[in-house]
Amino acid sequence: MTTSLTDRYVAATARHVDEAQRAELERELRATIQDMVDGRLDAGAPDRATAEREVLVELGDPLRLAASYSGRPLHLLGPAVYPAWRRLVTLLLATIVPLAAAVTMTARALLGDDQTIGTVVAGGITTALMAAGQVVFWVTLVFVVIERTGAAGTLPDWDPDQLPEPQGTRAVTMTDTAATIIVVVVGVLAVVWQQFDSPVRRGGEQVPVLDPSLWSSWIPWILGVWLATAVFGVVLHRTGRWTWRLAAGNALLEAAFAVPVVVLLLSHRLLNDEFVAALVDGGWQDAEQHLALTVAATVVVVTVWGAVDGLVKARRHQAEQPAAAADLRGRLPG
Amino acid sequence: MSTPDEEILAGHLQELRRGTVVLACLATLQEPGYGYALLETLGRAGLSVEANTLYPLLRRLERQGLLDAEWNTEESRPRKFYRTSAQGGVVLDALLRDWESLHSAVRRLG
Repeated sequence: MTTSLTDRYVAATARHVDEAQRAELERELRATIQDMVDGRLDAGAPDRATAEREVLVELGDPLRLAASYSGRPLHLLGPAVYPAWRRLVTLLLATIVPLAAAVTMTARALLGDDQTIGTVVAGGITTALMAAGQVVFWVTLVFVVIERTGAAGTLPDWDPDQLPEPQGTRAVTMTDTAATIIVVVVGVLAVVWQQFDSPVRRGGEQVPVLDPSLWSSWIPWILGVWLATAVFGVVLHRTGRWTWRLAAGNALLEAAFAVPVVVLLLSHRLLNDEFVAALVDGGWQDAEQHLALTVAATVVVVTVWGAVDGLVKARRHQAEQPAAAADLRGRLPG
Repeated sequence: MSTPDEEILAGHLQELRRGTVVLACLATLQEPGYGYALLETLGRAGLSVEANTLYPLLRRLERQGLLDAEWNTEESRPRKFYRTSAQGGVVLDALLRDWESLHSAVRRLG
């Protein structure tokens, strides 16, 4: 029986190292343990079994020893990835969780037949908890993979631009941020609502405003852009001021929303045919044409205004900081 | 003056000694030796190292090309003998120079 503990220890250690190193490690570890046991016996250990046990205790947890042999980390997330992990989790928890809860609560309130305030709130809380669990789990999983594959170098480096503005000197107020999030929430709710509880009826049937076939194409895109907009709002809030990079991101998000919407409107693919027919039945002969043009024009105006607003604010912020401006001018075109 | 907390002192001593193990291995293994013998030699020289630190370290230095390794099967128990490689010798010299300049720098500070 004296060899069995050693055998088990060597096997337990070898299991956690690469195939290529395994045979060599087993051989060396076995010789080492025998040397150490002999050393203990020479130093006065009462018998071989006691010495063997002491040696294995000294060598410690096989998983730890194997990790140390193969240079693998003994942690899930190391210092190289922890700050990025923490920043992303905080950001997503602050955006996705309330958004998911709001969507659930509204959908229940609008669609459920026998919902009370209690069940609506309970639904919101349940969804928030599940969303939080999902966010933490999936983000952590991705970062563990990054840690194990040695891809930590591909994470964006920390940049002084990420420093939040101290409270009180903020150029981006809580009101701005809240407004962005509310617009997004209202937009998401409106899209859900027009599908499931449209106010427009034709022949007694409720007809959705938007073409239902878009649910498998552009509606998810638009919802995704809105979600990104909410995330952007939080990033902007944490930064506390408009930088050129944020202004560019803002313009991109605006375009990601406006371009598909305008193209769909002008090619008459955005609105549900049934909905248009209901309007025509009601006496508005050119409903589709009129709606397409006015809505498209509104979207273009609002989008361009939103994009330009960000750029103007970034420029103003730059003008307030001449030193930083000189630095930026060297890096940015225009 | 109160005596420093034992644990704090032990922690700092461990930090200070960590890098010197590599130095000691590369210096000692200019003569070929196997793991357990090295453990004993270092222990006798007052540089006691944990076994579960030393063996993985030897493997790492071998992977880095600073140690050459060879199995000796002539004796009753086959053992893996390590020896400082040419590259290991260059690293050892650099480490020793740095060690000495650190030592004199710290001395000059006070």
